[in-house]
Amino acid sequence: MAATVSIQQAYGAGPSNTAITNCRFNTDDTVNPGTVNPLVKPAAGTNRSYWKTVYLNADTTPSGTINNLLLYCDGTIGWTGCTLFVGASGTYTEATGTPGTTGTDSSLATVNFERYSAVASAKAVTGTISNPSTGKISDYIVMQVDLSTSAVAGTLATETITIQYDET
Amino acid sequence: MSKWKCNYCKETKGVINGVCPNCGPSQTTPQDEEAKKEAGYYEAEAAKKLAAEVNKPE
Repeated sequence: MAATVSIQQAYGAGPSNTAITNCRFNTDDTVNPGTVNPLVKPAAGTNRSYWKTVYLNADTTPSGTINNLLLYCDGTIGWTGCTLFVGASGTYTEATGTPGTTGTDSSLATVNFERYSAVASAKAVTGTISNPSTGKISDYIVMQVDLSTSAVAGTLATETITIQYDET
Repeated sequence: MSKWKCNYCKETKGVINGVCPNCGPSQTTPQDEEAKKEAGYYEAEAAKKLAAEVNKPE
């Protein structure tokens, strides 16, 4: 029987952890924020989202092992004037910034996500779990949106990112 | 209440499925029957046995 796997978002000082099916970028350290503290287009320079931290979690144990994690998108994050950056770390760091204005520039989320455009060019993410264990599989995946002065107002279209893994 | 052990710091007190009070999000190993059920351990073992049967050379 395949393991039940979820994507968890880590937030706050603890961190707290919540299973998510989508991740909305805004300017505070919360999960599913709705339209509270939206991203702010800068008058000049760059504004940022708070970085969002997610990880792959085994809610139930695999029969064997889950490993070979790959992270990728379709090569286009179609948000005009906005760039989605990504990175990963074994250590959790709480997102910081000025709520309602901008996030602090992440030292982890530094690679344009569009670079990881397919399985062949995916980002390898550290992580493995074996029977009978459950819990956190992957390193923390950190994502942040940078906004330029050409950002467009309004809710942006949903983009899909994929975390692929092998399971035995 | 189910009993778990953190794979990283080996703590058992206050550890729940996937979360350790010391390490935060963590890998945890079930320590009793209740935890094994919560982990889906028996279903996973049954699947492993079935796969071994199916793949057994004739």
